[in-house]
Amino acid sequence: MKRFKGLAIPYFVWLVLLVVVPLLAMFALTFMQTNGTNLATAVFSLDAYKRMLDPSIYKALWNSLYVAVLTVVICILLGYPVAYFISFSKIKNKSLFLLLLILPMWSNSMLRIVSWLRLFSTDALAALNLVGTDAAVIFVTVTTYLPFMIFPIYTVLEKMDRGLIEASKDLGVPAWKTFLKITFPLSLSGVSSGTLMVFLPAATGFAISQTIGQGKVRLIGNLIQTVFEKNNYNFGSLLSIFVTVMILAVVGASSLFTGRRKH
Amino acid sequence: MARKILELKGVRKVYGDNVILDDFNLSINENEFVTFLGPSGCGKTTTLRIIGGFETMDAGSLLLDGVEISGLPAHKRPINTVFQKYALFPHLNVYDNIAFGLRNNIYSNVYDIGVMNLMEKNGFDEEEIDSLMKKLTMIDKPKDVKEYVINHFKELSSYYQFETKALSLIKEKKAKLWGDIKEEMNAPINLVETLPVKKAINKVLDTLKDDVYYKMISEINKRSFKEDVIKEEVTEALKLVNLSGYEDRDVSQMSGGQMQRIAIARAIVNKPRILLLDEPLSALDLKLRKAMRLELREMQKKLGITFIFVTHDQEEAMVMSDTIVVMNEGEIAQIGRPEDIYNTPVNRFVSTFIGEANIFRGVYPEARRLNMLGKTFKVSAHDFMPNDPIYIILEKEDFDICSLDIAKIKGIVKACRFKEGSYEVDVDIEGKSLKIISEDKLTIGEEIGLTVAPNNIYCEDISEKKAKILANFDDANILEGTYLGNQWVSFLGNHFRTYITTFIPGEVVDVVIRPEDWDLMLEDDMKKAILVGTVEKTVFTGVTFQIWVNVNGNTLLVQDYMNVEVGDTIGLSVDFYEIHLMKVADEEQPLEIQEIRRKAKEAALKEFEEEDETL
Repeated sequence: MKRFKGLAIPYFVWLVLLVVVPLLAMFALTFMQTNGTNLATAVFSLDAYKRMLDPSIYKALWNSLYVAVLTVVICILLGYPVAYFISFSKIKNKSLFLLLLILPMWSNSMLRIVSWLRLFSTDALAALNLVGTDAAVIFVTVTTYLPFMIFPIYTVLEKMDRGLIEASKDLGVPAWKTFLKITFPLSLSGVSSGTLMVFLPAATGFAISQTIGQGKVRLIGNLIQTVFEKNNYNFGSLLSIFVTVMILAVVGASSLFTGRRKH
Repeated sequence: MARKILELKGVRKVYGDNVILDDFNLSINENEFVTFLGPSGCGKTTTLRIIGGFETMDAGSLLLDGVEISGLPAHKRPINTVFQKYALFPHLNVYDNIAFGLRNNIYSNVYDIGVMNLMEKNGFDEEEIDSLMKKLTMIDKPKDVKEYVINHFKELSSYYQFETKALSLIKEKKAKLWGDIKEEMNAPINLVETLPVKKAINKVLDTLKDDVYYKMISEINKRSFKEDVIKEEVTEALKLVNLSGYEDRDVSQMSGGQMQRIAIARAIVNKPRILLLDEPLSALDLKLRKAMRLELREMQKKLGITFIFVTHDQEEAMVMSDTIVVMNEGEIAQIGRPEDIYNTPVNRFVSTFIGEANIFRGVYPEARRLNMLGKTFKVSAHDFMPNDPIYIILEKEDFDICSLDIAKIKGIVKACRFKEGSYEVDVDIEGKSLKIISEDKLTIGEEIGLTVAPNNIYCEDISEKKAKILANFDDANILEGTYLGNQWVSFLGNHFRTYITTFIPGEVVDVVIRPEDWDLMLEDDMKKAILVGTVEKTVFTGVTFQIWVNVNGNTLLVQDYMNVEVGDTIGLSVDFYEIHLMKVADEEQPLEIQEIRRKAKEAALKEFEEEDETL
């Protein structure tokens, strides 16, 4: 393995230049007042931190959490049965069914979001006044990220030893209880990685809420976008770091959960 | 007559165009260690899976205790399986793996077991325990065992009888005072008539609380009852498989042999009628496999559960089984005891297939020596008598190839095949073919030398061991007898032929005969009977009759499907291979036998000492 160590250098350089340095720069920016990225006029200031007290931030944060958590729950409820039935069915072309699931993902996501907006605005659906509601935002988020939930669950179920289910039945346990006691607990690692893969983009994205929410549903992503648009890089940086820390906390909690499961 | 537990009649199984089993008929006796032996693809695993409920059959019937069970799904059959790859639950620890069945099974089996233990602890007599247990172990047992048992005890409990009667009287008569119902209640203590009726009844009930049924009900109703029983049972199962103290371990941290034991414990803790074992030893290394064979066999006798064992390994089948079912291409080639199958194979397939095993007949000429293949070997076994004939079972892996000048056996290489990382070699030793495993490729026609380490020669006398095990359970008849030599033994004033050869003529032995092995003979058949006796007592056990017969002042226990009247004169006979003999302590032997034994033991000990010196 030693011989190939050198191959990791490009990525390492990339990591330092494009991830570590910018993060440090962002951190530094939070303590200044600058005009955009122009450091010539920079002065030390805790203005950004003072603005963190603004209740609109917590409102946006709450909205993000609300949308993301609901999206994850709905994705699990919709995605688990799909993954389960594809994995346990006796059909030969399981990959074909999976392909059908990914197929929409091959088109541009912005295009799909806008399509939903158009659909909601058609005569037939306009009466429901979906545009600008939480429900519509969550609905589109779910349709966008559902495959990310199905795939990890499917993979885990597919790898599961079918002998375990036979063993459970052999011990006198009926099918539904076998699912609760064996199949489901063993697929939790898939559910948790699916949760991460759906939760993160759903909590931090801004395209869906902006397009479908029409400015009425403000998530933390929208807030950051607006702040940067107003050239306030200091407050924008602080918000971004704040969100990053939150994401790390979620990932940490989730790995702790799966880690305990697997021992 | 041994009792049938499982019957397969006309079973047919087809996969696509492939007929796996066709008109397959087999019956299996209770408490037996049955082995399905055959090459891969012979249908042995399919048969096992049909019995377990994991495969459906296309035609035929499957009877457990005479009841058709082919329609029952796997989880409703009182049959458990030890899977080839163990199939332990990776997310549960050792304890929870074993407790899994008891905790979650559909019939809440744990209550049967718990109630039985509790009844034993509270000094119930056997008949009462059995009559309740019989209702709970049937295939159509009550769905909620707990409720059933509690209602059963409530009917018997004076506490609950009093309570029910009092409550109905109060309702009926709208009684307010004890005096209103006193006459009818017949209370065991005297109470003032003007007491409020509820208070009075509670006072009476307090005195009835030492009723054993009331105690049972309150024990069973305890919240921790189920988990307590599970804990007890799991602990016991772990003890049985020698893994006490491993409760909290993660199953992934266990070795192959330990996982195997957990899989066995997980199955037997449910107290199945039949335990199925699907090539459970194939994943273990040779040394462990050998140890597990004997352990499994002893476990089976201890538990008294029917074991159905599937293997393609002839040696394994020969060492472990009571009965071997040799299978080939979906059909039974031969059924019989290991010795019968080895000695009298019915067709070419059986003889070649069994012949692949390295089984030899040999003689034990003197202490710790063994004659086989025309040579004398050193062995570790020392509990035989000089000139005892014995079977020797050797593993392919037991042979070591060595240079010709120090070789015990010399042979010619007949064939050499690459198999699983090493070579399987056929060696011809003066006409007897032998299979060995070699690390290196050998050329055909080459002469090679072979040795076997003394510890690798398995020459335990299977028949003696069997008698010992049989004597320990099952109300076996144990009779005093004398070995006459030449496979004859005398007991109850008659001479009988036996299959056992390993005793000294004149030696006192214990004769062990299982109740179900006696053949009952009435009327005309009686002339053919060897023993004649009078019936003293009969009991119907639900399926068979237990009959106590007095023969020349000795009482024998006989089990049969036929019933007879007390006082009848009946004839008894027994097949020669159902007469098992067991050694008796030296002190009870005639002096000359004691002398022979003492000399043999001295010779063996001397041999040990000499060996120690050379080491």
